[in-house]
Formats: sequence, structure tokens, C-alpha cells
Amino acid sequence: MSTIDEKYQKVVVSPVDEIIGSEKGSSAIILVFFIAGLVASLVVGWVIFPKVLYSQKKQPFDFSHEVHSEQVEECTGCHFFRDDGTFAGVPKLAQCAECHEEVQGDTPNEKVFVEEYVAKEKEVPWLIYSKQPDCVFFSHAAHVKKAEMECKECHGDIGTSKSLKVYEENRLTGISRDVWGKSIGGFKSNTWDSMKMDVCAKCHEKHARQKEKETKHEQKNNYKGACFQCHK
Amino acid sequence: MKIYRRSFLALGVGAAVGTALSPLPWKMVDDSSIWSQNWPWTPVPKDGAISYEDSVCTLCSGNCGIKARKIEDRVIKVEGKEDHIVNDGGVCLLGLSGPQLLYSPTRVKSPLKKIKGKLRKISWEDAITELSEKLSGIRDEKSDKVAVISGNSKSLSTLLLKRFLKAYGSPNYFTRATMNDTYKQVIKKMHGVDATPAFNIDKADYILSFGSGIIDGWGSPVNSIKANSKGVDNSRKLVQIESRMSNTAIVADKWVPIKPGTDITLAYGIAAEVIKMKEPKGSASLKPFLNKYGLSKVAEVTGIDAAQITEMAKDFATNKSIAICGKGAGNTAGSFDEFVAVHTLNILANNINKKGGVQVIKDSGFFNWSNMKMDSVAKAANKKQAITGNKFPDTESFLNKLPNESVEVLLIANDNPLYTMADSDAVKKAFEKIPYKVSFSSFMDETTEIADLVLPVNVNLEQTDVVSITESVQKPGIGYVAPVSDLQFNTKDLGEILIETAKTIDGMADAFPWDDYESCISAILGDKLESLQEEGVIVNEDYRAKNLSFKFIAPKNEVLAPKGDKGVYPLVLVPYDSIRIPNGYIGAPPFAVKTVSDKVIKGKDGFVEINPVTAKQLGLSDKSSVKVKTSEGSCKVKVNLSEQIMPGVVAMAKGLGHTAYDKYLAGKGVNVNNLLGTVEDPVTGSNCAWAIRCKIEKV
Repeated sequence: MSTIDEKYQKVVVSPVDEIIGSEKGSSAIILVFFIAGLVASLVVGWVIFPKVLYSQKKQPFDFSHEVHSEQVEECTGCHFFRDDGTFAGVPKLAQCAECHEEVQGDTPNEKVFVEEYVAKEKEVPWLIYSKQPDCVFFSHAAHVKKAEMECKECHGDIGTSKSLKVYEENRLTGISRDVWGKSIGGFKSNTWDSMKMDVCAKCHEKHARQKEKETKHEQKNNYKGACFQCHK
Repeated sequence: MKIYRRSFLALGVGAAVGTALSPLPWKMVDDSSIWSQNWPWTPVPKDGAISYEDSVCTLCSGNCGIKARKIEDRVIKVEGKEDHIVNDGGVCLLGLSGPQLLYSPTRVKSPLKKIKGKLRKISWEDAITELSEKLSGIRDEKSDKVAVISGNSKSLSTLLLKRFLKAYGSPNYFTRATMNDTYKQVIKKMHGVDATPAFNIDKADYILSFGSGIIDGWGSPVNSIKANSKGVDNSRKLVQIESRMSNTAIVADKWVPIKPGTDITLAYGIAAEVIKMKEPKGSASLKPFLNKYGLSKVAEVTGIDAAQITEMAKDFATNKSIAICGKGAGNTAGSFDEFVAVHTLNILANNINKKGGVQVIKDSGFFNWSNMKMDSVAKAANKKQAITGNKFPDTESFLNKLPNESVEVLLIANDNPLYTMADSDAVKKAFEKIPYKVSFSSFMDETTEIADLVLPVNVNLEQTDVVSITESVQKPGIGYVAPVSDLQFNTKDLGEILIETAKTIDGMADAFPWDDYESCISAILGDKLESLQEEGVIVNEDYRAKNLSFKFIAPKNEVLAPKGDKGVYPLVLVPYDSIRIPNGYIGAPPFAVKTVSDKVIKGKDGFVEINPVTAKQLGLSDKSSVKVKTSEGSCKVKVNLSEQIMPGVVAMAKGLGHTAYDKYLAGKGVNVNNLLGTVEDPVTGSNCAWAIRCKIEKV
């Protein structure tokens, strides 16, 4: 006949062991689920999300900056400043037609350009990789002429490219992926890897601090209101 | 493997951690921010080369120099042209709204013809054939049954319209009279010359303004505002005489509230005092006439203190003074007698053709019209008299004459009479009786809606024209209206339409010998055209006016009583002009409507301005709903209690209550013209009513 203590052990102690055993199993399952959720969401966030976010668009026809760079010495040969100091951006048809009145060479792209656009006097609907949202005011003159920045600092090696890459358009904002940067995580190693506000701010803040050092005490902090330089 | 509830929680936590470690949420926050700051449905003007092109504004008779700021081909802004002789860089609200009018959804986008009660799109070729056939069909028998109502424009194209009707064979060309038309008649009768009046107010030291809204759109609006500013800088004194304190009265040195309709008595009362101090050569004949304007009598009639009248007379006599008239913006004809009384003051001030005075300018003849060859139909018809005699036409009797004289075709240009003429309901009824109406409007306004044929003309930024700027610059001058925008719709210049139509009507082609409108302008301007296009204006700087003789004219009326029975309608309703609410042919664009005070219009509600004393007598409080009734009509509005109006007088803004146009204008407030009646001036035949009796009832 068992004592009360034995009974107690049978009744109380045995289930505790079972529970401990089953908890070990369930922790593993929980961990598996946690990792599954983690991995799935990382895959969604890093791999699937950018594919969904950006649509891929082709330019009307291909274009070689390299070929044109050989003909024109500087970027401003085609991407010039107008007489009033504003930046012309992508050249208009009339400017291209100065040389491309007739088909030059035998590339299919040249044929498309001359026949579909020059002959029909139709502007080429280029997709602009570096076009900022409308809430951003940007002056090329201030950066290129006054700050003497190189085109490459923002636009990278586009001037030596042989062809135009696929234009990736943000489905929500309609802005090119190049503004955010190729890396969806926002990682960058070159100044031209992104055209987001932090890239601008880095330089603007540096100059603001420099300017602040040079000014008298009572005028300090005057350079902090830099928001309105770009967001009018 | 057993799955617990916690497994799913773990999955969720894992997913949350993973998501937080991925760029998804951070990128979405950034993108949402960009998206919400740049709503894709908000139109963004395209980027491109900026350019400026000069022109002259034709939205009112001020004819300011403007420059259009363009991005590539698109006009995006209108600015005043610096150093322009009319406006020196200034621009008014209406001129500034040019791009809104250019791109307005209420523009008529192509010729329209009424088919089965509805206006339907047709081609220009069909439209001109339609007009041509209509006019040709009745020309031999009854060419004088065609009439034109044209807004008061001083443009070459309007002169072409006049020529068109003359060559067609009808004397029935009517323009809407303004204060300048009445003043022209005063000059003709008092000085015996056909000349244009202009007022050199910026050089005057003392201005007696009989209700002229110098900063409310009077004269050439921007020019007048600039002149007022110059005057303020030169310490000039402005006395504003009117029963409602306008913006001009606010900036004046003194506001003199006057009993409505007694301006003539006051002007002669002041003249009677002036002549005691200063008697210019030739004014002796006036003395006996002025004797009856004793100070106490004038004070009693006008409600102005005798001492104040004496003070005004003294200031007027001892300064380089000018007296001006034309109520508000001066867009209505005014009373001939009142203008004579005011001009008499100017003669006493000896300021005619003097610095700071009234300039009487004869036209320099910039236009070289070839002799018009008329055929027998035109010659015979032009010997006939117009249905209004030689009078201006915006009165009730004119409206009655239109259908009764069997006018069969009515052409309407630069005007929207169904909205702008007094007693709009009567105008509508009269127009309905006319079998065929042609509108040349750019906009689907009230008159265009009832037209049988619509031939849409270009708006000011698309027009090519030449306008007289004589009144604005106080010297003979013209300005060049250059098209600064490509045509937005399938429209034409008025001159273009007229020349094309004239060529298709037998017997008219000789009067329109030009190939097209461009060659017409070229022929009429001759060698002046090149410099006009280059400089934008030609002004005859060497013009010197001659000394003029004068004779005095006794008034037929000494008090202009507003229409209505005083017993039934104890109050006087005064419509007023506001530079913020264009009230002419062009309806107020959205940009202008936005600037109007909520004491003038709030939502759809219009307001009537009432002095608190009057309101107390009627038991009314601020913003209470009332019905304003006149002998011509009634409307429901809200009360705006204001100390800026005399007791017994109430006021409503003009330019509101459109039934046509877009949601920014249609149905907002009340068209005060519906409440106004007309009073035919015994001399000019124009509508000289400036107010009407009314009563106000609580609703």
C-alpha cells in the first residue's frame, strides 16, 4: 500500500516531467515559427518588395553617352545652361536634330530616332533617371557653377555609359529608383549612389557649419534654416 | 509536432522583427511622404525654358502693358510690364488672372450652332457660311433689321465690327455707354469739339471726387491706382463724395457722405462759392445761374454741413484742383447733367488742358482707313436712323425697340448683356423675341447660352489687335496687343471672322479689301506697325492741346431721384464696383473670387450692406437673412452691418450671381442688375440710373 507521499508523487510529480518534456518540443516549434516569420519577412522586404515597388520601363530607344562624349567635349555641350542661368536638362529634339537631320551610321536606334522623332518633329519622351519630386527645388547653376561640383558627383559615370539602363519607376511616387538608389536598403559607397535628401544634407550641413564658424556670434544659427533652400 | 497558439505568435513576432530589419517599412514611410506631398492628380506645369512675351491687356479698357511668363509654349503667369506708360509694372487682379481665363473650362472651344434647342459643335467653314447665308438672305430687303451690341472697346477689331455693319447696311450699331462716352458728349456740348477726356489726377493738389472709385477700377484702373499713390506721396488732398464709403473713400483725406442723387446740387453749390473767390475769364455768364445755389439750400438738399461745403469750395479755389465724376469704376454712363456740373467746376478751376486738370484730347489719327466702298444697299441703309436715334442704348426703351422694330439678327461682341444690363429679366425677354442671335464670346456666359450661333473669339492672351490708350496716358496713343499664347481651342480673332464673312456676302467685299486680318492691320497701321510691334506703344509725346472756349449748360435735373415710390420703397439701394469682382463682359475668374471678403460673399450667400441705425429701425441683426425688393425684382441675401454706409442707404456688390460660368462663380451671391431699373438720360439716352429705391423684409 502506498503512502500518501508516494501517492502525491504519482499524482503531482509525474505530470511535471511530462510538461517539461513537451515544453522543450514546443520551444523548438516556436523557434521554427519565429525563424520562418523572420526569414519570410526578410525575403519579402529585401527581395520581393523592391520587385513589387518598382515597375520596369524601357526608354523609347537606346542611347550611348560614350559615343556622344567623343563628339562633345563636356557634358554641358548637350546638357547646357540657358542664357538666363537655368539648366536645360535633357536636350530637346531641335538640338539633337542639328546633327541628326539624316540617319548617321547603321544602328537601329539611330534609325528609330531619325524616322520616328526627327522626321515627325516629335519630342523624345525620355524617362529621366534623376528627376526629383516636384516638392524639391534644385538649381544646377548653384551646384555646378557656384559650388563647382562635377556632374559625376551626383550622376556617376553616366557620361561613359554605352547604353541606357532599364528605368525603374516607383509605382507609388512615380519617381525613378535612381533617386533612392539601387540598394533598397539605402546603402551607398559613392556620392552618386543615391540622390536622397540625406546626401544633399550631408554637404549642406557641412557648409552651414563652416559658414557658422566664420560668422559673428550674434549671426550664428542663421544657416540652420536650410530646409527652404530645396523645399520652397 | 503539435502546433500551439504561441507558434503563431512566434511567427508574427518573427515576421515583425524581419520586417523591421528589412527596408520595407522605412521605404514605405519615405515613399508615402513623397506621394502625399506630390499628389499625382495635382497638375504640375511642365519644366522648360522660361521666356517673357509682351502684350497689352484687353480685359478692360485700361489697356495695361503686360508680360506673360512662359515655360516653353505655355503661359503660366501674367505680370505688369515695368516702365510701361500706362501701368509701370502694376497689374490688377483681372489682368493677373489671364492664364485662368485662357485655360478656363468655360471657354467656348469651337463654333457652335443651335440645333433642336441645343448648341452643337460645327466647323468654322460651316459657321461662317451659316452667318453669311443668314445675313445675305435679308440684306436686299431689310438690312437695317440687323443690329450689333458691342462692349465698349477702343480696339481696331471693334472698329472693324462697326465697319462691317456699315458696309452690310445697318445703322443699328450700339455700344454700352460708359462715363467716358457721357463726358465726351459734355466736351462736345461745352467746348464744341469731338475729343477724348482724360484726367491728370496724379498732378492735381486737390481732387473732388463725386463717387469716382480711383482705386476701385475707375478710368484705367492700374493707372489710376498708381496716380493715387503718386498723389499721396505729393501730399495731395482727396475728398470723396459718396453715400457709401468705398475703398477710395477709405484712402481719401475726407469722406463726405451725401444724400443720394444730389451731386448736381452740390457741384453747383461749390461752384457758387468758388466763383465768389475766383472768377475765370468767360465765366461771368454763369454767375446769375449759380445765384440760386445758396449755401443753406445746398446744405439742406445734399445733407452736407454748410461749413464743410465752404471749406471744400475754398480748398478747390485755392489749389491746383480737379473735379472728377463717373460712379465707382465708371463703367456706367452716368448723368449728363451731373457731368456738366462737375465739368463746370473744372472750368472754374481753369484746369482744362493744364497740368493736374482735365485733358481734352483730339484723336491723332493713328489708323489710316481706306475709303470705304459701299454698294447701293449699304448707302441707302446708312441714310436711315438707328432705332434709338442718336442715343446710347442700354435703357428699357431700347430693349422694347429691339423686338418691336423687328430686329431679326443681333450680333453681340465683347459683351454679356443678359448679365450686365440692368433689369436682367427684361433684357432676357427682349432678347428672346429676336429670332436670331450671334455671340462672339470666348466664354459660355449667360448671353452665349441663348445664342443661335456662337463664333468664339480669342481671349486677350491669344489676340492680335491694336487699342487706343489715349485715355490712360492722357496723350494720343495706341498699344499693340500681341498674341503671347498659342490658341488653346478652335477660336479666331474677331477681325479674322469679320473679314472672312464679309468676303462671302455680295456687295461687302469691296469694303474689306484685305486678304486677311494680318494684312488689314498692316494696311491700316502702315509704316507705324513695325515700331508699334517693337515698342508695344506709340504715344504722340509732342501733342499739345489748344485752349478751348466754353459755354455753360443749365441742367434739366437738379436732383436725380432714384426710381421707385418712396412710400413703398423707403431705402435706396446702391450697387457698387469692387476691383476684386470684375462685373463686365468677363466674369470674375476663380482667383479673383477667392479674394472677396466673407462680408460680401460667403459660400453661396450674398450680402447687403446696411448701417446699424437702419438695421435697428428694421429690427435686423448682422448676418440675418432678408429679402431686398425693388420695383424690378427681389432677392434673398444676408445682412452685413456696416458703419461705412449712410443710414437710409443700402449697398450690394456688382459682379456676383452669375447663372453661367463654372462652380467658382455660378450661383454665388446675387446679380444686383436683376434689381435695378433703367432711367433714360434726357440728353444722351443712356441709362443714367445709379441706384434704385428698395425695401428690406426679414425672411
